[in-house]
Amino acid sequence: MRGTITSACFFVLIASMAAKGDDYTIDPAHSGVSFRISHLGLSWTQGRFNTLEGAFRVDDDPAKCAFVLNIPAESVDTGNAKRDEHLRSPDFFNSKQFPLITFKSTAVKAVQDGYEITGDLTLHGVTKTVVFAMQGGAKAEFPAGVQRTGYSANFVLKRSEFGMNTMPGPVGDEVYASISFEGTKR
Amino acid sequence: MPDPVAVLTAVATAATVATGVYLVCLAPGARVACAFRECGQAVGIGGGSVAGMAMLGVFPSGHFSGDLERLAFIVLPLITAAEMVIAFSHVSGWPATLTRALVAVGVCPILLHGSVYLPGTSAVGLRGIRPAETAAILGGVGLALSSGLLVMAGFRHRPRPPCLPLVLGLTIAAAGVTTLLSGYLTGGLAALPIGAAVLAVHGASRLQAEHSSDASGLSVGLVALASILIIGHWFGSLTSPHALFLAAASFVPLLADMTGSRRVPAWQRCMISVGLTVALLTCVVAHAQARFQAAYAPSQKAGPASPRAGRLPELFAMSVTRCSAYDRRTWRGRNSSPRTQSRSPNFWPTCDCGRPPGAVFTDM
Repeated sequence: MRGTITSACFFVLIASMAAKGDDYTIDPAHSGVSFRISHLGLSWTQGRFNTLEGAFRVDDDPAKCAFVLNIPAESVDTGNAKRDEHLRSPDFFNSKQFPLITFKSTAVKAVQDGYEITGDLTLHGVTKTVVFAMQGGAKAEFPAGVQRTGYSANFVLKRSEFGMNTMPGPVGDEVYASISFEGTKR
Repeated sequence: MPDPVAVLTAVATAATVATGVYLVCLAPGARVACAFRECGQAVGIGGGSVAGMAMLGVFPSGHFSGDLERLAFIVLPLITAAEMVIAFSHVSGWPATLTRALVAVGVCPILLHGSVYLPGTSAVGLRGIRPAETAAILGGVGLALSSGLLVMAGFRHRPRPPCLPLVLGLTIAAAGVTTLLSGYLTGGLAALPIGAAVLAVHGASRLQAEHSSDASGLSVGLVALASILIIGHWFGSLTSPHALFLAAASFVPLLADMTGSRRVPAWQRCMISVGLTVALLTCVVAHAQARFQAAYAPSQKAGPASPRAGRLPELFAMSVTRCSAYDRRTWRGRNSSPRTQSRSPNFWPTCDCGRPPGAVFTDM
């Protein structure tokens, strides 16, 4: 009886180890978020967030995959210091009140070339559920001994849905965002 | 840029509501006229300000996570309520000063609530400011605002410069414009209805009574000015010198009154005070405007924005020369006549980099 229980525990342990996914920490040096937004309907103003942090877990079972991304709103950079100050003010990101833009996945589904991610995006203090496709998943070793994988996604947000209503005419409502990140295996 | 019609509508709404509330508070009669007049000034300015801000649409979130919501729905009602208590309880001296000081100390924590400037907030995971810095901010602002209210109250039993509310209203409006130019549009716009409400109540009280007391109106206006400067500086990019000059501007009449000769008639001292204040406010706004323009049009004043920008004619000449020479060499080496070469359907001369001549501009 005792041997049976021990065998069962060992089996469960092996099974849980086999089911455990790979945990990755996002490599900020090879990750970034960029965006573009219409200005007066004439051109696209492009910008990026200089800091992207977070972690994710990749598993053979997509339901066990998880992604957590943190973006300091203060790191917004459009190449114009005065405009960046305005973007950080309560007119837009309100970075002193809501310093972090966060994304936390709630469901992951396997699709061709990647995943379909459903998650909660918190921006400007407002949390909304967003769904987008994420391509990637190839693995590489760089430098030697450091395993890494990466993903990329493009999606469109309406800033008004997150309470950013300032200057609705001159500045477009739709924000075309692009995120690409690499993670190093822990 | 803000819609001028919307701004004017909001300013007019604030002035109308403020005047209307003030006049309604005068209705009970002469027996309690003094308390009601004080109360009417405070409620008029507070109500007019909130009405004007609402007309501007500066409350996007609709809850207290925004600084302007906290200003309109917590700070202004708080100082208005304090002034009502002071007016109807007929207290003066230290009890009144203490009541105002309590409000003054609470203004900064209320406006900065939930921000990175206070501990234990949403700044988890980020490098926040140190507790000592937080204490310095809250203590410094609380002390400064309490002192400001004390100075105003200190003139209660002597003739207060009649232009004080006028100067305060102008200063609030200038603080709004400066905040707007410093990169916080809605915060700056929100100040304009407040300034209009202060000026409207001041005008109505001057028409109604020759020597009316402006203490409660001044307190509400001063707290509103401090609030605009706080949110402009800590949430926007209003610089410390601008904020300090704007804060000091509202006290110019008091300073002029204390230092000026008693032989000079009051109206002349008032004119001098307003002139000095307007000059100071003009300098601050003009400086903020210059900084704004310099930031958004760097190529007009500060020279080329990038090293390559000013070299455009030079690069153009180089590329034309280089590609022309290359084309001539190519044509000479391969063909006897450029005309023959140009008839060939597959000919597309390339420079050394593999791009068509002139394509040097495509990546600039």
